[in-house]
Amino acid sequence: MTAATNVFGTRSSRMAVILRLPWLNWKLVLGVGVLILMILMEFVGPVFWDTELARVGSVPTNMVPVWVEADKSLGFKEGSPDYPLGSESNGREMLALVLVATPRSLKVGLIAASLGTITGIILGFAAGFLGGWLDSSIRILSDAWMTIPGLAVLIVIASYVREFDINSMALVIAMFAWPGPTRIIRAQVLSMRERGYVQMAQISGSSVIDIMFKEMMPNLLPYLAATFTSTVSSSILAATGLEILGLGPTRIPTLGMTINNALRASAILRGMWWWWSFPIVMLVTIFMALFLMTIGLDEIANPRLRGIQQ
Amino acid sequence: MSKKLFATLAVCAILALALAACAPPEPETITVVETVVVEGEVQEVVVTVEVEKEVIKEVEAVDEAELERRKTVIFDIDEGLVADPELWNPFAAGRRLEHGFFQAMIEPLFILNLESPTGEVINWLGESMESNDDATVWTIKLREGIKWSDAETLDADDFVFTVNMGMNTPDLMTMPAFENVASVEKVDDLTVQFTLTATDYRFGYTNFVVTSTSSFFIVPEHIWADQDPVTFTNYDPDQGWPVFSGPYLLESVSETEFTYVRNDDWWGVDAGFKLPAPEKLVWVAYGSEETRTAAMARNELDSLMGVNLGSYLALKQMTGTTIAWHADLPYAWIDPCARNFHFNLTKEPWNDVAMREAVNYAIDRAQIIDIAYESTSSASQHWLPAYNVFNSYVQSAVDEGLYDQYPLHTYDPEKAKAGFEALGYTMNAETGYYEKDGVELAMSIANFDATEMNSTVSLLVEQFQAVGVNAVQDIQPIPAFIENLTGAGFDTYYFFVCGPIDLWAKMDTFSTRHIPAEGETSSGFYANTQRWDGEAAQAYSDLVAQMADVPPGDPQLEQLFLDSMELWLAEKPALPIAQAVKLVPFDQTYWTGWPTADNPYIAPATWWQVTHVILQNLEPVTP
Repeated sequence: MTAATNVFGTRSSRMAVILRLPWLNWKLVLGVGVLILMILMEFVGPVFWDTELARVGSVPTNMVPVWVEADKSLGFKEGSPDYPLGSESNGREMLALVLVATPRSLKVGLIAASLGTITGIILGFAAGFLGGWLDSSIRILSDAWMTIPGLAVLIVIASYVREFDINSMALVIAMFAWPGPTRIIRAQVLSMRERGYVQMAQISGSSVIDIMFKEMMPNLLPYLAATFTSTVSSSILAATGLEILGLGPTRIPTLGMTINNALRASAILRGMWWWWSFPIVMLVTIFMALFLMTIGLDEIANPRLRGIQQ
Repeated sequence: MSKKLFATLAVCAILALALAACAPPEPETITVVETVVVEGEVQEVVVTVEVEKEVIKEVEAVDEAELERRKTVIFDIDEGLVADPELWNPFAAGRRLEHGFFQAMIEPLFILNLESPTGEVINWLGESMESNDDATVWTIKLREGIKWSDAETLDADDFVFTVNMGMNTPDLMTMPAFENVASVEKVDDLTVQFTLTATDYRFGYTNFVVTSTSSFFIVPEHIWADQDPVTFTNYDPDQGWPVFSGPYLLESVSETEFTYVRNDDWWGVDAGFKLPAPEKLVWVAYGSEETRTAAMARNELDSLMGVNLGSYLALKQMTGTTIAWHADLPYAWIDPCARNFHFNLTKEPWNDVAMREAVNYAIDRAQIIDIAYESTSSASQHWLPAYNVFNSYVQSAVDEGLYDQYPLHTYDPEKAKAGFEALGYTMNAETGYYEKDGVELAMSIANFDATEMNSTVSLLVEQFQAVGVNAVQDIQPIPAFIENLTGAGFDTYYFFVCGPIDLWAKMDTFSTRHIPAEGETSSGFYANTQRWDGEAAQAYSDLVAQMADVPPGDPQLEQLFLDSMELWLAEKPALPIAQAVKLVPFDQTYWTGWPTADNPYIAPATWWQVTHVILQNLEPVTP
């Protein structure tokens, strides 16, 4: 043994071990990193930019981005370095709008997906592990719930909810975010309860709660994370769908509401690409990050996908 | 021959047969004389050219389509699909009217020309309308020679029949109430006389003159006499129904498109009207504003019902042939329903005059006009639309100093804050909102879901937030909005005052007589829905009641107006914000003669019955 080695191996070999840890999958890391950056926008954004400019009437209307020449015949105003991404027709500054709207859109997805996944975990575990009439009831309920046209119901609910803020929107979307996770988790639990270590735990007298949450849950973490990620994605999609129909928070908009405002003001026809394209780019980035996370988690859960022979 | 070669030849033979079967018919040959230059010498050479017959047909078809287009005016329907396209009963629930029904087929008796400096009334089916001195007997004379589209005569019998039908059938849509009519009689074939139970100087004007959207519709007795006016659909193409007197006949219907063809035997030609130049009229529902605007850019629409400034500017740039009421900003025409900020006066703290004064100081109307209306509108001094028939009254209030005494347009956030503090409110530095007795000064502003309303209210929210009021926007679908509007379910709301273009009718909007009993809903949208009550409101209502007893245009009206406005401005039960505007694009690729500020022969509202006048003025660009 050389001086540079000890029982834990060399520094470089330790690094190699760390890098081989399944949770350090680069797709997962990149996806999580992008999302963390977007969440941080809410806190970091106001430090270096005046996010109050995202409110209506804050800046002159219809300013083009600073690198674009304004077409005066279409009523556009010259861009300014003070407002680099330009402004829209309600006097909102686009950079401030993107900084404010992106974390808010993500927040809707995270809240709705958290509620949906937690509900899914409870119901999925209960159905899969306990079985019997409880399994039948939960399975029928979740299957039936999935046949309800979610968006149509959401539109009706949203139409009658006054002051539709981020939290109430997330709650409404969460109503339709639980059946998917419930089914996936139930299927995994059904296969896992037949495994030897679960049966061993049962024989050794562990309680149902202990078996479910101490024995089975850690092994399901990659699946739960993947389910959570895809639920975030579908929740943001549902929220964006509602917002594009005009059913969303108005004072400080989300990405979907910004697109809705642009559509209503005929921004595409008018050539105000900076109004709708920046929110779309941010939405695409969110979905890409979530997609990378899902692939990464999939590879963690399934070693064959990351090239490990079993 | 090898098997491979045989198979190849067989496949080729089958393909050849198939191609021959699909081949076009033999081309026709024509002989032409072509001039060619051969080494500097000009020679005429006879050549035979094969001409594809189908190609010629196609070219002819395109020409026919273009020719057809040149004879057609295409209008826009901006209220979406027509759910029941076979319902042509103008009084039935669920019927639609603005898809050409009352613009092409149903003719009015009289039309008020809002753009005329003197408030000219155009006689259409009606030849004259007069009353006795105390306005208890009204006599309306029809033009001679009016025919229904089935060649039957339209006369006083039809008129009386329709009025009686309306009086005997409650709840008919678009039918005047005729509450004060004691009797209606036919004097002769062309004359109808109404006897009223009391003086009503506005009876004829209110019921039989198109002042905005439409007016009284006369229907043919010979068809409607045996029908239930509530359930009758009035649609049977085999019998030529619907039958009306207008210059166009219904040709085809669908949920999205309605076609009318010109009736060359229209009675109006003999009466001195011009046979409208368009041979065909089409109304189409394209959907969203962007789709409608794109349709006009493709020359598939000649008239749009109203777009925002951005769409109009884009359209103007794309076509080069699109015009609006004004050639430059504000481009738009003034619509009759001026926009106001209304308080629910049954709720605290909005029932306090001092609170309303303070709120008014927080409103920056210039910013609203600049942003929400993109400078296409102007700040409103009154809930009256800025039309010639009303402007002199508002100007008299300005001249009288009423707006100096009770400032309406002063934007002063500090005065707003001082107003709240004078009412006992204190600023909570933590929340940034005023509070009184631990209760935050919060306000919900409702509006129905429309781009203009959404934009304006979002600005009002920011303006109120800036002075320490926790204002929130409450965008509602129209049915919910109406329910809350008539049921006093709001804190505050952004809405408009519409209704007849008549001074008394507009002022009567705020009369206390409209306040319903507790727990009941208001009788209409413009029936004191803010529920302004109390001593000043009662005094105002008494003055407005006196206006009803003065004929329209009478000089006494001005003083009554001034006296009532003084009471109103002192109390500010609502706050006038902006004039309503409609930016109505017309395309001149196929048709000219559209109404504009430079040629203001009538309002450019193609969704009103005034379209009959517009059709008289349209001329094809290429005859």
